[in-house]
Amino acid sequence: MKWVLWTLLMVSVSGVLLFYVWGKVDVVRVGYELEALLKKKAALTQEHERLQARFSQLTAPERIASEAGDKLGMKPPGARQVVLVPSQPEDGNSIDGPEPPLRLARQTGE
Amino acid sequence: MNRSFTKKEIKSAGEGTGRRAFIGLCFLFGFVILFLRFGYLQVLQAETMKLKARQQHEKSITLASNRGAIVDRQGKPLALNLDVSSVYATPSSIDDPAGVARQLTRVLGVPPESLEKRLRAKRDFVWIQRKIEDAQVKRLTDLDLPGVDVVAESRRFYPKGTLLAHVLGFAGIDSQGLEGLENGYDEHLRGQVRQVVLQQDALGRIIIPESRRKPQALSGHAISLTIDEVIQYIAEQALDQAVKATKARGGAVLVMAPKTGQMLAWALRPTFDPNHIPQASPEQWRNRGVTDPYEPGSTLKVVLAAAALESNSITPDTLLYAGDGEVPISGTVIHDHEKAGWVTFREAVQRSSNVAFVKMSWDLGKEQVYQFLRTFGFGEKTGIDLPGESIGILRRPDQWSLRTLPSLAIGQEIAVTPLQLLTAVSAIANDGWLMRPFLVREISDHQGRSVWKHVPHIRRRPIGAETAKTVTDLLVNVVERGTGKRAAVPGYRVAGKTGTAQKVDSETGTYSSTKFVGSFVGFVPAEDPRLAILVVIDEPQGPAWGGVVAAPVFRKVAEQALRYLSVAPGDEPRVVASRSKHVLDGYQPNWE
Repeated sequence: MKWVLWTLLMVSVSGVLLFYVWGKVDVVRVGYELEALLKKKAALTQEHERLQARFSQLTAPERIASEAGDKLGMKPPGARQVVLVPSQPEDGNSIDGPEPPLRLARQTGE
Repeated sequence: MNRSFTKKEIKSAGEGTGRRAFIGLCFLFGFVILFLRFGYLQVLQAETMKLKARQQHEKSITLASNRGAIVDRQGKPLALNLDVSSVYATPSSIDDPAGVARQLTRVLGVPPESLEKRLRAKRDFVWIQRKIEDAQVKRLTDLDLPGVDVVAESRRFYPKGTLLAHVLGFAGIDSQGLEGLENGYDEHLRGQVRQVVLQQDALGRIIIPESRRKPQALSGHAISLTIDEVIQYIAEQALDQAVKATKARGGAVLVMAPKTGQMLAWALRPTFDPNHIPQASPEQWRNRGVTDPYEPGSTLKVVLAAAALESNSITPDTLLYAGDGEVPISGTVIHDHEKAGWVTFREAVQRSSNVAFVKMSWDLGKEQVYQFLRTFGFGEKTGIDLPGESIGILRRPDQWSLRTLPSLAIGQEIAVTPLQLLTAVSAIANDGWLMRPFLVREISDHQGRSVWKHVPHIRRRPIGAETAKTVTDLLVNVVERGTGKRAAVPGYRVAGKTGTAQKVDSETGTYSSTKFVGSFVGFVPAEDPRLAILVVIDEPQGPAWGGVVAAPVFRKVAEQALRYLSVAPGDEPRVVASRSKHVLDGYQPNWE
């Protein structure tokens, strides 16, 4: 009976110790996983920033003008190639006074 | 059954007990020693041991958080951040500094002696190289050098390259603003400093940075400018073409919304790319729009005409005698380009007659001329939100010689910054109200919430609305019939004035006969000004007249910018209206 009690006590103590160690080891394991995920997130954030920067570069007026001129043969419209005509205000309350605003209507060829 | 033990057995049993006792004592002694040692280390040496452990497992570095972005008035990014990697080393973990230095040199291109010196330092942390390229990071990772690792940092990136470079300025290696708005608004743009503590295991792997258990350091505030990226591009392109065509030393195009003082474009040449500062020089990145005063020549006549009209000493129809085109002044002679005889003041402005303006300035008197120049903002800072602004040069009347007053009448013996001149002319376009120019319209925090908005400031009113209207008519006449014909924009009434100023030769101290500054300043549409534009071409080769080298640049910028802003030509059935996002004048101004 005494040996049984001792054995139970030893098993219990060992169990508690094992659980404690397992908890510690698991915290470290989760820490490694967390670090890996954070690295992944950082890499994705970095990629997002790069893409934003690239987008900004590609939409720069200089590049658009160059692409439009060199590749598509476009050129800025002449003085009388742009006509502004009145348009209906969106909400009926013109921000520029009683006159209805104007909008860019069309570009006509010379 | 009882058995009696022999003497030998009794002796043997006694020896066994003694051995067990001896072994027990040895263990006890050992445990006592261990316990004492344990107590010594855990209690007496506790702090020292903690420090050693911390040194071995934790590496602490200070890094700046992301700077806030800078965007134009439409929200298009002009300055943002990119994550880059920086290399650091923990010298205590490196057994062969010379060997590691040699391998690092192959990747980073830094001399091995310099690297080895750093790797032998008696410190826990040393930077090897900051903000390296991705390819270098990959090669370093492949090498897997002991005691060498990389950490993410933030690098300032200007996606539009040279566009608006002088206004944006640039930031340094530690993300501190050094020039331009990056410097002027550094306290807003700069993020919080963050302390990063890296915890390493026995193999040197990072477990959990301690910093992640603390609240993250906040990024800096984002800044929204009054500058419009498209108008900026239009101005830069027109200036580039003019500087190239005239083989000029440099130039400037500044565009302002005259009713509010918002700057819409700020183009200067020569320029630089803020992404590649080591290749640029201070000469290139100096913001001449506010730092370099120059003699404005005849463009100053706009202000003097306004002064004469406001003081009622003249009207547009007053006759002035320009004689045979020259007037002697204290040992020198001031010339006109052609003999004019009797001219009205209107014609004098139209022809930019030096002689007529000299005589007009005599009528006005030096005190009044000085006072008007001061009220138009010359001799003081405009108050724009840029660092390094000059007040220009305007001496007090008691320091003037006999030649000063007539010289001022033709824009000499005074030095103004391009911004001062544009601000003064904008006052005429704004019914006489002198505004404070500004570049930043709003500041937002890292979550996009507005924390500050700029409200236009009126500085003072040098002239009344009636005078402003009269001056405007005189300036329209200059463009329609006078020296500024090449600034005319089809369909719009343009008001403006040309200027051609001799530069002072630094060697002789006299006016050069070969170096000129050609300029044009004006606003459009004259009846409801939306844009005030100054064009300065510095030392053009060949003809240097402002009407020849600068006026066409004004026309090009005004024509494209008006179209972009959907400002209808004056001969269209409806004038000036736009519901588009390009609204420039939406502010209630404040008094200064």
